[in-house]
Amino acid sequence: MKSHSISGYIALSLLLLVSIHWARSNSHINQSPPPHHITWTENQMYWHKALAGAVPAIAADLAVLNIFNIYAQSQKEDISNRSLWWPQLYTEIRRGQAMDPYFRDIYRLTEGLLAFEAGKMEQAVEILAMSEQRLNSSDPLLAASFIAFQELKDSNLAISLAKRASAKPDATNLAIGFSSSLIQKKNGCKLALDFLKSRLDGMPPKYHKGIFLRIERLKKKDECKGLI
Amino acid sequence: MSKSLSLLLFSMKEISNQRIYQTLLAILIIIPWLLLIPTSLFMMDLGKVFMDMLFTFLHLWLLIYIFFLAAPLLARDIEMGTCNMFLTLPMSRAEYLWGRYAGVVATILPILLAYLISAVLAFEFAERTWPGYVLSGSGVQFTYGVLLILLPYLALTAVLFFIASTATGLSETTVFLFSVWLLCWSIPPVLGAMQEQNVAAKNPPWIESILQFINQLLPDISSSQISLHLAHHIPLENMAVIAYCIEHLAYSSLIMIVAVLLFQRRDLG
Repeated sequence: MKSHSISGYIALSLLLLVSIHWARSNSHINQSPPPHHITWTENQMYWHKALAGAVPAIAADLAVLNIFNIYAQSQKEDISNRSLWWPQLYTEIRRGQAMDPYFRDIYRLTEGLLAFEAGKMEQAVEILAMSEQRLNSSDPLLAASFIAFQELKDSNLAISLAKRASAKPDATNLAIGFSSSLIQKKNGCKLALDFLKSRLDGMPPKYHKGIFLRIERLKKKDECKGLI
Repeated sequence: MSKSLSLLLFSMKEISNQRIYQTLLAILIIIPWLLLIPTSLFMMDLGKVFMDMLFTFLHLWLLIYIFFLAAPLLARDIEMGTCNMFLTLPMSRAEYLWGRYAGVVATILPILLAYLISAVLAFEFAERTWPGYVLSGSGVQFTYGVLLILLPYLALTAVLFFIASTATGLSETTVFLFSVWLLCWSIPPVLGAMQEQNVAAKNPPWIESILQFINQLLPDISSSQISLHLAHHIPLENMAVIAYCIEHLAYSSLIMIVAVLLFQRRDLG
């Protein structure tokens, strides 16, 4: 009798384990794109800060992980549907920047994904320019200047950003050369190409696609064909 | 004094003999090494991300310690009348409460030390594995941060003693302590937001006054700027650090004095 009840329990446990395994493998719900009308407001920032309390930096880290997730989800969609994810991408980037304005990964993802992948150039320039108050690095400002010049065709903004980038303590020859070329109105395809290639450093290969697309587009331009 | 010291040692032994304390100690040695796995997902500021996670875990386990080890110990003492055993030694009620407080605080130190050593070694490993992405000296910055973040929790422990000195049992102590912690957690960022011009313009000034008043009564556990600055190796102002230390130590002492006064008038029969 006792051995019967033990074997009954074992059989029931095995049955339950099989059901759990089956249920887990079949309960995956495909994430649908978020509502298109998501927008970032200052009020959201205050809520997030209140919730994050003493650990706002970890909220910024979680925002970065969300950005990775949004990007991965968007890549599963057709090209025409990917734009549905971009408002949420922008919201997460703003959240990360508001929670930890010193976080360099946020600025790198702004440039790599929001600008070159999602094509939200104006928003990207706005966020990258926010780094000026917090970082000693010229990197985000230089990227903002490049986007303003190359994509937004706003030379005045580009020159202003490039000058601010050159004034940073870590300004490299690239930053100084870029800003001087802009000031002298020497628009060079090679310069733009060198700049884009330099942006690949430090960015994981799976996020290189947007930058490669820009390089290819640049190479196809008539004025660049003889120079590159 | 020697009676308080004996109670301190007794409290340390009592808490450290609990299985949850020993489990916590073992987990905290492993946690820094496990946190290197999610850290590797990030791109540039790996040292900063690692330190953020370590600080978050520090907050988490200090809360676990206060809610699940310190609060039941104190509530049990008063609810079940265990404290009478000490008070008949004879030991004054003030000596009993101060002795218990010192014991509860001192028992944090071994697990804190284990967590610190493990984290500093993990930082050394991370610096060698990801050179350039983890700044050198991160272990020192982390140690500095840990010592500063510990101070508000000494104040929260004092609040626990204040609540327990009048509460009827564990449930009441836990609910009140949780409410205090929740307010401490969320009010400083809300007040920070209310300093912004656009928010201030939308809200009547009396809301901010009420929040300011509540904030003055509670311990300030918002060490967010400390952890944010240290994670990025941005130096803290010496005067601000000294003021921060004085604030928390003075607050803890004041609340403990009030707790002793209340406990002395309490009917323990």
